[in-house]
Amino acid sequence: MEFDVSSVLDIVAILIMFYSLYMAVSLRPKIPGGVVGKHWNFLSLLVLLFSIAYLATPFFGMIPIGVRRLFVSFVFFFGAIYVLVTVRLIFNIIRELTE
Amino acid sequence: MLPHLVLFRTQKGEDMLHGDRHAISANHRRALLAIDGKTSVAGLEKNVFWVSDVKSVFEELYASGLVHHDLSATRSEAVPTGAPGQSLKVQLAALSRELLGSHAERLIKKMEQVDGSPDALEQVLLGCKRVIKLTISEELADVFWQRGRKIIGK
Repeated sequence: MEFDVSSVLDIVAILIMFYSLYMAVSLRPKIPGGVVGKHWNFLSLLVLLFSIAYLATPFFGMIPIGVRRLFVSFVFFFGAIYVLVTVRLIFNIIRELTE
Repeated sequence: MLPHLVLFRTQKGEDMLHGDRHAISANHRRALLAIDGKTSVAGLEKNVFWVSDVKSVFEELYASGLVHHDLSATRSEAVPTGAPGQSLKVQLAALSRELLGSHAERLIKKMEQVDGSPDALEQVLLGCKRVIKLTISEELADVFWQRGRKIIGK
């Protein structure tokens, strides 16, 4: 495996994603329910999915091009869902705080 | 007297404090003043250096019915004092523990930081309700809000 800028970025991204996963899991006991708690399991699941997907990025060169495109599409798709859920959650929190 | 007990002044203790200055000794009066409805007996024994023989003085005050450790059991006769509204805070803390169990502590901390006036407590209750609604349960938040307001007389 060659170590260029993209490899370094991949590794940093993996580390950040695993740190996010750690935070999501450790926050879980403090959020058993409510508006945030309802979404937290789903968001944590998505972070786990991204963590696994990011782990695969250093090996992209070994994956056939068709599978690689499908893989990237899946990551983009779930990324969009993640953004949607997060924005809605923030919207709900702000609404609750300003009621 | 058990060291973990938290003492409150009873109505009798309150009357004694504000009534005849010579009804009890100065040492007993100082001990009575030190009781704040928050600090345990062990904590008071450690900190109240201006009262001599603290432990036995507390025992005497307790035996005379001027202080008591059980707020709920003596609600009709005991008026917890120290900080104003301490009684309301104690009741709100009990409500939090009843409804939220282990999640109550962070809310109780918030309650302890404000003064005991009903308006200030109502603001804290509102903040706690939001925290409960966001992180614990939407249904419990409403129950907490309604019962909390009843306690502070709103």
